[in-house]
Amino acid sequence: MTLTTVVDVERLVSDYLRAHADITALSTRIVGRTPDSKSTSWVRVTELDAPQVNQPDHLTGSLVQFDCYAGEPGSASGGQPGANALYRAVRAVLGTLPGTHALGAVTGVEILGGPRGQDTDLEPARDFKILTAVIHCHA
Amino acid sequence: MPSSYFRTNPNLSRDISSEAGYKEALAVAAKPAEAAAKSFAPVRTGAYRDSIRVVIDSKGVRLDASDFKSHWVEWGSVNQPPSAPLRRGVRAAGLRFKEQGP
Repeated sequence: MTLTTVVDVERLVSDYLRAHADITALSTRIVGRTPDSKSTSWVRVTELDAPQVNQPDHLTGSLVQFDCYAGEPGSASGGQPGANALYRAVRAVLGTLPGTHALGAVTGVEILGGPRGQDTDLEPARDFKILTAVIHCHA
Repeated sequence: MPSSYFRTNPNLSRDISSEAGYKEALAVAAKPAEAAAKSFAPVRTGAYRDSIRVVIDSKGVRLDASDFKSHWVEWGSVNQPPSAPLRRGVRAAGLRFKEQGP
């Protein structure tokens, strides 16, 4: 019996971001967990929730968080400007995501915005900006 | 035959929000989000989950988590991924949330 599973949204959107020229131009890393090396900027992609939209379980409205971390303070991708530039690039690229992809079809992306701050778990504190989005997709 | 005129109230939103009982009605509507957020909250001692509640104050009505570690639980950090119980609770209740700074 063949099962049809819902879309692996984290992988779909991560692959898309990694391949996009506007993201590669920033020399940033797209990751699923915090990288060991924190010298250059990174975007951590986390699916928070994926409720079923209707019956059968085909279309999902995944709530996804993108943590846009700047590079080391003083570096080209560092500080508040680095975090903001990364956030704006990710936000713009997500706007081009709707369409058919190898892992599934994205029918819509809704940007919900997010806060900016400094992560004090790192010394010195690292600038970041969070983007939350709802990504509607199906297999 | 007398005529009727309809004129829009440009201050409708403000007038409604200043009505007696408006905030209380919003708080009632937010209660399902509070219950859902509590169900999504990670639990060890229960302090974080128990700090989640609907708050009415001068700023309006909001879903609040007052435990000191609330920010890390909701948004995560370099050392932990986000759990987002408040955002998930709002969605589960069929409401929409608007993210804005403090």
